[in-house]
Amino acid sequence: MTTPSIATPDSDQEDAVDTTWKVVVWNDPVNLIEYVIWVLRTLFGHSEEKATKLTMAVHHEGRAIVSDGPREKAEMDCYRLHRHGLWATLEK
Amino acid sequence: MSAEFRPTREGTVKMALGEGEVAFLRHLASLLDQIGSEPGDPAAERLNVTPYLDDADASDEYRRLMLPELEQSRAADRSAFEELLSASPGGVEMSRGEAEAMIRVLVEARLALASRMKVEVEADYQDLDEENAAALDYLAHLQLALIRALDP
Repeated sequence: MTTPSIATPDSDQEDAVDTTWKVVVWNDPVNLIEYVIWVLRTLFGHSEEKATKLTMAVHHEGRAIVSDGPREKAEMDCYRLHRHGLWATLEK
Repeated sequence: MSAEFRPTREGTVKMALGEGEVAFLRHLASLLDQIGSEPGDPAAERLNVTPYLDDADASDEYRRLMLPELEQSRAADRSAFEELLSASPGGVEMSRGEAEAMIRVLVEARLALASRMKVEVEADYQDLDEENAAALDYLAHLQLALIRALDP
């Protein structure tokens, strides 16, 4: 019987040194507030209250962080937001 | 604006559109098909957002990986949308997936039109002529009516 290796696989090592990436949604003059709330609820499963709070932060402060995580997850979240027409970017 | 969206108990949405609306929406779908065919199109720039503001290489890599998938998904949404329009005389019942595809196409069309009308800040709406303002308002109305019918 072998004992489990404590060596971390490469991908985990990368994750360990990888900073958390943030997905930012920016205010734009075209998307509707009610639509942005719907997108955040539909894509991320946020409650109406949380999605509304984030959307109003986007509207009033110009931007809000809507999700975060390892780079691959953040890029996928960013992609899903782009697919829904939101102005989303990635940052550390 | 005679469009009507009604939720059903099964979670689908029944849609009825007027003839003029179908013609306008078909025209928009064909406009979306052409995005990206001319360099410097503000609609393409708006729809294909630069994901890393300070890293051109990372943005290029992201686009290399994601853009083909994004374009394929948008094309699939548009073909679902066009099928719904074809089926719409007399009313059509949409699954949740079809309704979501239609919402994304309406959003894409509104973003594309607004960027070509040079709407960059909210004050720019004041400078739109009546026809352009009416087109954006109509698409906003459809988007919200459909969302409200889908998630009442």
